This record gives sequence, structure tokens and C-alpha cells, in this order.
Amino acid sequence: MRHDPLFTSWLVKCSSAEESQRLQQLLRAAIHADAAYVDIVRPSPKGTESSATIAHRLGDYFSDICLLPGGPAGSLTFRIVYSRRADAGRFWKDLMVRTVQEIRKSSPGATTTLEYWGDEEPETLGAIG
Amino acid sequence: MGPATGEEAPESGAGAARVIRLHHGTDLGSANDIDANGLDAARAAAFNGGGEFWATVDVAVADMFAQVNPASGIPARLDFDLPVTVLAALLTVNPPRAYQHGADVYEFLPTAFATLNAHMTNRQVLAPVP
Repeated sequence: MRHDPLFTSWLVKCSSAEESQRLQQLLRAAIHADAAYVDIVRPSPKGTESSATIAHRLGDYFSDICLLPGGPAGSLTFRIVYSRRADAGRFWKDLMVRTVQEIRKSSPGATTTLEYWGDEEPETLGAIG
Repeated sequence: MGPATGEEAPESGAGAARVIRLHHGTDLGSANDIDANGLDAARAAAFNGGGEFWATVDVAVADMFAQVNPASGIPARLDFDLPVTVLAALLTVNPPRAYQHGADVYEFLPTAFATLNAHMTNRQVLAPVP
């Protein structure tokens, strides 16, 4: 079994400082511990009669998801850092990817770059700790 | 939030030949292994406890999974076509051999691997992916 790291950091670059602020506001409302992603599972490609709905609460997978500055005040960039719970189920990665995907969808001009992926707490977290 | 977008239409073709283009994000070694040898339940289980194989119609999602591959290897994407009739059969057989998650993600159980190996066509490995 492969080991999944505890910390993942994505650098988000927006087209303007205003867009960066708007996106961070959206994310703050979406990444709290009680937020849930609802996975609709269907064994049939078009059918809904036997669909199963499974709610995945972010707090069950992550001890923290935080937004950090990517540069000086007014910068176009910010970071989103995921701290995975050690006992998180395998769906944690799906939740993270869904969040990053939402960033790209809600702000098509934004770019998301995987910046860090490891077990050591990123320096960007330590700096504000 | 808009609909999922991909580089190409997820389904193409006509009639019985219609296929769906699926994308699997992983590391280069695994992508090449699947391309050369097909899916294998034991090897899949080495990556995740259940041994399932996941694929999506959304290229961007597959690329993100490639970037966070558990082997920390070169991020790669395995693209392939699957006849829609085969996919439908895997989803509807009792017990199901595959599940659809949301609109764009498919989970294939190990019991589907032989069928997948027989029907995956136009395999292509791309690396590194953005």
C-alpha cells in the first residue's frame, strides 16, 4: 500500500487581486469542517432508482484546510493547504481534487499549481503558527 | 460553478461503435504498466486497499490525480476508449462491476478488469501532465 502524504499545498494564481479576494471568500465558505461533498453513486449510467447518496464531511478527512497569502498584500496569488487526518479514508484525495476543480471552474482565468506534497508541515504553515 | 469540461467530447462514434474516452491519472510507471500489461487486481490493490480502478471523462481531474499520485512519480495520464455498451453492461450487471460517481467519474471493481482489458482501445500514455 502506498503512503499518502499528510500535507498538500496548491498555489492559486488569479487574473487580478480582486479576483483573488473573491475566490478566497468563496472558498472560506466552502472548506469548513462541516462542509460536505455529496457523492451520488449509480450502478446504472442513466438510472436514479438505485442511486446511493453518500455525504463526505471535510472534517472527517482533514484536520485543517487553510488559505494563506501567496505573496504581499494585494497579491494575485494565495495558497490552499490541506492537512490530511492520519486516519482519513481514501476519498480524501477526491475531496481535495474536487475543491481545486471548483477553483478552476469558478475562476477560469485562475491557475492551480501543486506546490508541496509531503509529511513535513509546509514552511508556509510554520510561518504563521 | 460550470459543467465539467474536457479536451474532447467524452463520447464519440455512432451506433454500436460509440465509445467513451476515459482518463486515469497516475504515475508514469503505473500508466506504462497498464498500457503494456492491462489492469491487474493485485497490482491495483498495491495502490489502494480495495484494488479498484478509477477513471474520469474530465481530463483536468485526471491530471490533478496524476500530480498527487501516491508513488510520487512522474505524473502521467492513461487515456483510452471504452465502448459505451461495455460500460453500460459493467454498470448494470448484478452485482455491479462498476459504479458511476456524479457525472464524470467511474469506479471499476476488480471483477471488471478482464472485460476492461478486452475492450480498452486507443490507449495513450501522456507524461508529464500539467
